[in-house]
Amino acid sequence: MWRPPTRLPRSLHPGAWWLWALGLATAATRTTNPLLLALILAVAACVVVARRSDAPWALGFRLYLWLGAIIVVSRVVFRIVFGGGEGDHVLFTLPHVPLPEWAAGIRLFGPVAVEHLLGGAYDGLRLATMVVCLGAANALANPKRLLRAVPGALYQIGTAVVVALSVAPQLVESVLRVRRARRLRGARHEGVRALRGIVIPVLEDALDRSLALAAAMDSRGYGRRGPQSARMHAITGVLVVGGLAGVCVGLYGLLDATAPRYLGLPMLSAGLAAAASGFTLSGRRVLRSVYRPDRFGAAELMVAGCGLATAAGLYLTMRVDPANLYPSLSPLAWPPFAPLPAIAILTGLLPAWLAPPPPKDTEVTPTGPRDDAVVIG
Amino acid sequence: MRRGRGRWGRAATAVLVSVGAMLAPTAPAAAGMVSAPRLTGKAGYCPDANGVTVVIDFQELGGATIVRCAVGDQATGLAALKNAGISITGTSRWGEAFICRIEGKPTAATEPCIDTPPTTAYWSYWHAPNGGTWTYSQVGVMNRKPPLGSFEGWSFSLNKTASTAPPPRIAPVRPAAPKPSAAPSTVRSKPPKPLSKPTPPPATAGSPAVTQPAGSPTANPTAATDTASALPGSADATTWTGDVGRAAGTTDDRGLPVATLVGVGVLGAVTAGGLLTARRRRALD
Amino acid sequence: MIEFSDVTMTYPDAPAPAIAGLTLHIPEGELCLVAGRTGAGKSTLLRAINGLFPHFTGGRLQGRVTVAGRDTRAHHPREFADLVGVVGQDPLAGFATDTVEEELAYGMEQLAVPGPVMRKRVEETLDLLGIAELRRRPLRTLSGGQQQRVAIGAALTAHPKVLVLDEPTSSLDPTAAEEVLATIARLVHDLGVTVVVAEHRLERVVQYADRLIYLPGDARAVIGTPAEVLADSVVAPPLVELGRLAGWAPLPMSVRDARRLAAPLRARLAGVEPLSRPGAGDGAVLLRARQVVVRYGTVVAVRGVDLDLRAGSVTALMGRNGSGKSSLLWALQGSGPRQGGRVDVNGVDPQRRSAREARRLVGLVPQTASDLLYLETVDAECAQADRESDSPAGACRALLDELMPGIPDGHHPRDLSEGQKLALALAIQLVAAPPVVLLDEPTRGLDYPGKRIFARVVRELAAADRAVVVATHDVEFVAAAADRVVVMADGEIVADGPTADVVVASPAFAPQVAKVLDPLPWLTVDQVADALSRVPA
Repeated sequence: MWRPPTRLPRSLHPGAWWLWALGLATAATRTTNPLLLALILAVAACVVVARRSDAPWALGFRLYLWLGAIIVVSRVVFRIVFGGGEGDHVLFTLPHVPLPEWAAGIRLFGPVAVEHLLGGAYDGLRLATMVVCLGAANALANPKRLLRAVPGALYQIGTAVVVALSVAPQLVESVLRVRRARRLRGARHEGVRALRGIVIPVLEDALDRSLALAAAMDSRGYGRRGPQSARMHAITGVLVVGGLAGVCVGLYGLLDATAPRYLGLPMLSAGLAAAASGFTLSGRRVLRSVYRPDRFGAAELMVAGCGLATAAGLYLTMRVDPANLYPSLSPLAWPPFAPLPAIAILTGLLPAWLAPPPPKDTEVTPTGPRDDAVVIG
Repeated sequence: MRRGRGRWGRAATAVLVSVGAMLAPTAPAAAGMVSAPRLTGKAGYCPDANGVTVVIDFQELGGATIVRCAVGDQATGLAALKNAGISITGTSRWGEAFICRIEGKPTAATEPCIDTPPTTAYWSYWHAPNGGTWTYSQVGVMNRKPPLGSFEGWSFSLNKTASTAPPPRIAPVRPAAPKPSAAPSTVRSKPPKPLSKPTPPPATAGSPAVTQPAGSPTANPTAATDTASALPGSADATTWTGDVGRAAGTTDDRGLPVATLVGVGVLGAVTAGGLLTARRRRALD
Repeated sequence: MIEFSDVTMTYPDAPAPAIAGLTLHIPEGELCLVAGRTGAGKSTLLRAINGLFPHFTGGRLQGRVTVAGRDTRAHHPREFADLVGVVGQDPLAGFATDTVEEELAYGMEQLAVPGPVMRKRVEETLDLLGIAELRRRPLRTLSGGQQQRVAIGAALTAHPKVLVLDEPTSSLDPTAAEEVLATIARLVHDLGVTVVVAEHRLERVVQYADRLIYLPGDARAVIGTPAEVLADSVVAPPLVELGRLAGWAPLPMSVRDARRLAAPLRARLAGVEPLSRPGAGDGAVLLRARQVVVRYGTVVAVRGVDLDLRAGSVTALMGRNGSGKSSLLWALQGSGPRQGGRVDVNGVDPQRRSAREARRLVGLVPQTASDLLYLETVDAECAQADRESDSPAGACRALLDELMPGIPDGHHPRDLSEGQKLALALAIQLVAAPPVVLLDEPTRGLDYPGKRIFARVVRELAAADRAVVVATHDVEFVAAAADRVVVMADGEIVADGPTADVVVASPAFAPQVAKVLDPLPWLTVDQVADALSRVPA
């Protein structure tokens, strides 16, 4: 029996997972078919469950699912409250609340039709699927390792983001500790007054900590730069800023149909080229090495490829059989389910088997409550 | 561990319930969807003032212009459209408050009908009193009650601005019954004289079929289709384009949505696989 | 290696220089200890070695500081990264990454060390510090001692010639502190690293030090070998004080040296009973706790603890980090989670009452006293505390003056010294006049005189018929202030008895005097002094 080659558990380059998730999210934008969207959701959740590591940052996927559910429910509730759509199949009728003349376009409550509700649900489901795909990327790829892979010129921005991500749980801990201490003072929760008693110690604490962190990072050599002449500095600056401006103009030209042709794609490419050269030039100045950098290998290509194949498959479906992707609501019809989009989406499930399993040696369980820390129970 | 199993059981139930809730509201509608849409209304112009005549001009989309009559008092322009027996598709976002597709055109390839179509390709809404001129409607299809005897027009505007949208190419004039009428907005065709030979109406798709009894003076310069005059049956055949854009093949003979069920099955399989993997991982850790 | 030439350092907006006219030479491979009262300038001195003063903190530097020939005036701290490694007081606040391995590599990344070299050095450092099994652990889940070692390792991977440590053992229990200090000594002796350490609790470090810089607080510095400097300084570990009392010369720096000189003293004290404190152990029971259980998720912090607190007694709660001391104190006060058991203060369970009422039953000063302080001036805090406890205006201020006189009204609470902050927090909690007072690690930032004052405060509280519990690591403080010691481990009480009984024979918890005069049950220098005054010479 053929056995797959032994794979060592390792963590993939975070970019691979992000490309996979972006492919799924792009696929989700192309359709409102609830079956296809739910399938994308299920595929994303499956891959997360199969390939997620045990580190604490990987356990937040559930929150994204909850967020998605909230999005769908709020869309449907919004549709119920602000009627406006008509449908043949009325589920129930809420009392119509008449509005004054100037708001005559808005209709509050009134008869609630299935088509209208479903329209809201489909819309919300699409957004929820995109959110869950991004949550899957967050759960599969350590966001901080992704920030380590940014080009040299953006390294300092990346570090700032990494530090901010590390500081957030400390802030939460700080707030909890201070709230506990407020109880010791017998303070009643008086709204704004209570807020002051919490916010000020937390902010002061945060300020002290950030100063300590800055001193520590400075002492360890963060921010060393090689020598560079003022002329080079100016050139790099002009390239980067000009390139980014060109990108903005090019994007605008591309999206606006009435803009002249040269403002579109040519400007976008020129801007990208200028910005990229500016970044590489300025990146050369940063003296830094990377400890055990993530490499983009075959497994990463496969994972990214699966996600992009899903997006490509749905684009293809749009050319071949678009009715499949947009089930009609008026008149009401069962959502269709065709092989082509289904296979495209199931391609996104392949990383659950083909990607290497995550490494198991991250110990998450703490040694017990520390006396000098708040353990949040 | 017991707690873990309970948790996965709950998760599985939640998933299945949500999928079911998504599709359940369509169940009561299933009954209504199995049968073909009823062909209400009458083909051709309304014979008298008791009804609203609906004119659909596809313009560049291709297809013979449709003229049908919604008999009786119509509450809104939308009701007139529906009661004339014309199949329409609204948008996902606004329901039928904005008409996106009429008789299946434009197809889902060009317009998915999720949100309001762009001003470069949409169905423009016109109305006219009998014998008047087409006026671009300032209100939506659900906010207007067409008076009895008036005309409702739909014309596809492609790559035009709001001010240059093309009105339907058929005059909003109800042909008179076969007795002379002294109305100022004169109907152009007069009853055929006995010695004229009736000319069979050329059934050309893409151009309005012009039937003119030979010999009758055609004073009206606008080419108009007199589809209601002498040949009701064939008029039906030439201008009624049928159910082109309806969601095809979602039901089979027994009334079950096979494809949807297959889809739900695949979804359930993937979810079950995921829950199993999760439980196995939990057990290993 | 390190040269200070007539250095004067003045902070911006400060009336007087923090350090004036300091000339110092630290040769290679020495362990240099910096001691002094709080606020005397220890941290300032350490920052000057690295260049953090003046480049990071601002201020004016007069004179020259060079490390291995590099002048701090001309180079930023980041250019000293390959030469000087710095470990701050709170290691967690100085971590720039998530896991141990990444933290060790961080410094090398900033110095653009090539990849293979980085890997080799990380492995070596993991072995050197004995943290190899922790390599992939998130930093936040490590214990205090482990974090401290990781911080030292992170500084060492850059192979610096100088290592600067600011109070490395302040938050560690005695055993962990011993480990860290042993590591540091090994660095000095094996690797030839020059180490400069600032410490309050001199008793732990002074035996390893080659040089002592004592800052009395008036901007001067007294430099010399420990024995020379400590001969007449105010700040001195108990061993040195005992030596001064008994007239030993040279002054012993370690327990071993002291024991060699202690035979005559032991002979003199044989048969003399140490003075026991009055009223310990026979007051009414103010707080009764039975089978207290505290759980955080699946982790059990306190497992069925029984505890009685009597009026007039001072109880010390000791145990390694993570043994459940803080959790127990919070559960007794009623503000922390308690999943099982009963707590009874005069027939009332503080957890079932509102926060205001619980405060009147049991007062708790938390580990970070500044968590309680949020107003702008000392006065405002006192006034607020009076309002919160429904006591007459000025009660809190009066209490504060009793505890520690001389704290100005208009000062911002965060600008106070550690001892003053502690006194303010204690006054705020005492205004509600609770019969039971709990203190969680109060002595962390205090120097010897501060601890002496605080011990007096605690004894006075007990004398006012209160029950006081102090959770602490500080063995000397326990010997000076506590009547009863309760030792916790793994959530349970493993020892409970009078101080002398519990503490004397234990290798981890015995004060230095006890270790020297073992097997005699003497705990503090004051006891010995008192006994010597009673015994004829």
